[in-house]
Amino acid sequence: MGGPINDLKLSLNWPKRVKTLLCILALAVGFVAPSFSQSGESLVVVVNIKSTTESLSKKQLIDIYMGRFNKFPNGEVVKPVDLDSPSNHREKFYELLVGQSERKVNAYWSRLLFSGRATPPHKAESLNELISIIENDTSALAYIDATNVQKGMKIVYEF
Amino acid sequence: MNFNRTQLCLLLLLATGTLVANKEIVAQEVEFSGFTTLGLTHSSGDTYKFRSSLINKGRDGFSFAPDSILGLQANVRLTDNLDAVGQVILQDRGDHSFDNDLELAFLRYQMNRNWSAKIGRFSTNSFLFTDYRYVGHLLTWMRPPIEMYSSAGSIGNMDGVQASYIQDVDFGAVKVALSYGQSELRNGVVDIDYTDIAVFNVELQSTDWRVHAALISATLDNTDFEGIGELKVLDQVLPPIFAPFMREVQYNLIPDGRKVTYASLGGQYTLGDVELIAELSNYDSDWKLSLGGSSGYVSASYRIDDFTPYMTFAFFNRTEEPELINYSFAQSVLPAPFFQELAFVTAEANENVRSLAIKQKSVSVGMKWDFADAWSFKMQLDHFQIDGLGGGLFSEMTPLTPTEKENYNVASIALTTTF
Repeated sequence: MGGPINDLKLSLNWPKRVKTLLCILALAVGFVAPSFSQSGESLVVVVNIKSTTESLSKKQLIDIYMGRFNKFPNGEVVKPVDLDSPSNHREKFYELLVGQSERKVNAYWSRLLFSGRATPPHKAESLNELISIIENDTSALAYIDATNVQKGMKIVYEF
Repeated sequence: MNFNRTQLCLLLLLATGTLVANKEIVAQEVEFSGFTTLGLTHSSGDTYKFRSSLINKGRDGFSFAPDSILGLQANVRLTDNLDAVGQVILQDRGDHSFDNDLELAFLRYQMNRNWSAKIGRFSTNSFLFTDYRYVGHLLTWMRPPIEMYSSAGSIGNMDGVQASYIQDVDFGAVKVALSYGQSELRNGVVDIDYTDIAVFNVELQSTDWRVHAALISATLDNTDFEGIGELKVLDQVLPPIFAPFMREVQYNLIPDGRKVTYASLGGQYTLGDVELIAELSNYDSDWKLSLGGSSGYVSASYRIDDFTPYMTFAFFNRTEEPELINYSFAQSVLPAPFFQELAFVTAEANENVRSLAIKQKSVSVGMKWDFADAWSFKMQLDHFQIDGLGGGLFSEMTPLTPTEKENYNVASIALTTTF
């Protein structure tokens, strides 16, 4: 006799549970995988349009930006460029790339510098300087907001 | 015209400067940087004087000397594939020659993506932190555990050539380096050359961890210390009955032509705010003024916002007892008056052997406060348990080396930065 009533309760509760589940899922996704698209920005990695490099994997980007290699996988010289601090893009770039804070990345590069292993990427003081470097140097590599990509650039990686 | 090794390294840098000055040859790109630590150390007791490296002076009571350091560096980019690095370290050294202050002076040529070569003065990478052990701001500790790193001052760098190869792998990269060259120890008491140094390094690097192993072989030569001239003729000037023992003394104090080896394995792992570090090393030597032994440490730290408390346990165990010669054997074969004469003649040298022997363990606790970018403040307490005839890492204030176990405490604070 109570079956239909229980069924009714279930059917009434179902949308609420779905909402709760969706909320939890959304929070979880937001927690573990923050992305630029959520904040209305899309970070891309670019090279000069004449560069012989067509694309890079995330691992190859880490190799370059963490000072392990100073050449592209094809053997061409690479000159990574950073945006000078304080830069929202720089902080987000390294968070996305290696999951580390800007302070940790700075300490990491100081280790490489003072052990004589490598010198940190050149720091562009402004977006205009960064754009100019990419457009004039075929070995340059930089991260930039997708809306700022110019004709003289080629996207090799998108976050 | 003869040049010593330091002069050759400086010539390399001078040549680099000439190339830099000639813009038609190379693009000019010079960067200067540096690091400094202002440290105040207090060591307790009236037995030992504290020093952070075997090549430094010992200091007791309150002192700014043991942990204060100034490092200046120049990086020169000559071409896309050629660069040079020079680094000078100013510290409380026992010998203040420029040779002791010049830490790095090398030219590096990048042959391709994987291969590179160095010539000049470069780090031996003997241990996990050898190549930036002086940069206080980059270390969680006040200083790397002295049970391992005190001796790194004597063979932390070398003059020679190096070829290295790096390969990207799934987890990060593997780097292998092979070096050949020479170095020298100048600590104000003993001068000695390390010749035919061969170094093999392997490092596995990932974002959150790294593992490092090194194997170093060197031949000792040109030993010099006060009284070595008399020592070399002892077997001829003393009665013949002493000759075998004098030859033993000479062998044990003058290691010219004999090999020493260092082997080390270390790892560093970061898991979020937790960092774990451990290293183990073995030093094989039969030179009585630098006896072989094993050393190691484990260290853990936990970052809480800008504060990082840490704790370290370290040890150094020598592999043999510090006696100049086998006195038991001498006593058994020599008539009593002659044995007493032998003991008297060798007493001072035997005391030197005892004072330089190392056997100790320690526990250190401390805190690093990263209060601003590139600035940090540190405090550390070290408690050393030093075995009898085991305080060689420190310099002694007593005329005779303590034969009983002693406790020794050191407290330090420091302000560090990079620029």
